[in-house]
Amino acid sequence: MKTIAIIPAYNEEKNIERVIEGTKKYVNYTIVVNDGSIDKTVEKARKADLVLTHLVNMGKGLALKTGIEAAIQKKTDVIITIDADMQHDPDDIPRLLKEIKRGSDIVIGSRTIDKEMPFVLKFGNWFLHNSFKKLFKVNIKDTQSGFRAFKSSIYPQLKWASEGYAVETEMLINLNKYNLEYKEIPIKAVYTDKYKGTTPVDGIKIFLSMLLWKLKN
Amino acid sequence: MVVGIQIIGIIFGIGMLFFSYVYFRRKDFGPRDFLFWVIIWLAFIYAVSFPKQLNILLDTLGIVSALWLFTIVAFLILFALVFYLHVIVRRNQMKLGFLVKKLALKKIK
Repeated sequence: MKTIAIIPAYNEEKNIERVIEGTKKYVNYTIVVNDGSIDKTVEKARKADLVLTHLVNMGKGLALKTGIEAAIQKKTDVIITIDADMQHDPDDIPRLLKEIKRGSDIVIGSRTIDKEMPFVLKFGNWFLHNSFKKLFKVNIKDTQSGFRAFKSSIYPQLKWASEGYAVETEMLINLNKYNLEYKEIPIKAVYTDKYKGTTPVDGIKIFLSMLLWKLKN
Repeated sequence: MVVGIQIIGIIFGIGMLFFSYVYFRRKDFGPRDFLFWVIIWLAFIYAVSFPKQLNILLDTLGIVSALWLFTIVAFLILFALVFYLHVIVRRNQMKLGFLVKKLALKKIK
């Protein structure tokens, strides 16, 4: 089962090297998508098998799309998406792959809510989780987790239009729409920089997008 | 009699007409854009020069004063412009996304 990991990165010179090293142990190929970084992300990502560069910062949604389309060209069976900020532990990859082998179409690594999770993130996740549950009648604990594994064959159904952080939620809406088999497994998350990643403004945008998708559906 | 505020309005309208012409000559505006803006500014100059002519329109629309008419029309234009700009920004964002993705993927071909 050929597995390719996609690591979208924007100004992640501090952590990208460790993420690549950790990920390479469990996958056949690693693709870093440098999303218009202005630091040394590209130099630090040299250990990846392939580094693709967006000339300007376009957002996580498009970076993932670029990476996944490259992975599909490389004829992969399974795609792993993992954040470049070392928030996710690459040692959890085998657990995600195990569920794929068991038959799930997509596996979501759900971050456990503990003391280490910053308050803003905790509140944001709680709010988005409940909004998603109310609107789409699906109980996924961590709708915003970027640590996922899925079969490349389901990409046409999962395919999203969001360019920013709403990508994770849109993926879930599509998996619900097409009745894809999913599984959530708890993962431990490490928060290296509380000022990076999804901001409260992104949270509001995601919520508004959810309302829009609900209307569309 | 033409009052001071009307003179300012007329000068403003003529100035905007001139700018529209300049943009047209620079080819920033096509003939349709130019014609649209000429009509807008001529209508503005006419309304400022003969404000009493607006009374017919005010009575028809049931609006109390010309000030209200200007405010309502201004808001309508503002909303339409915001919507129009949103569409353009979204369209450009999609075009940019397409180009950026294509350039990034070129490396593996």
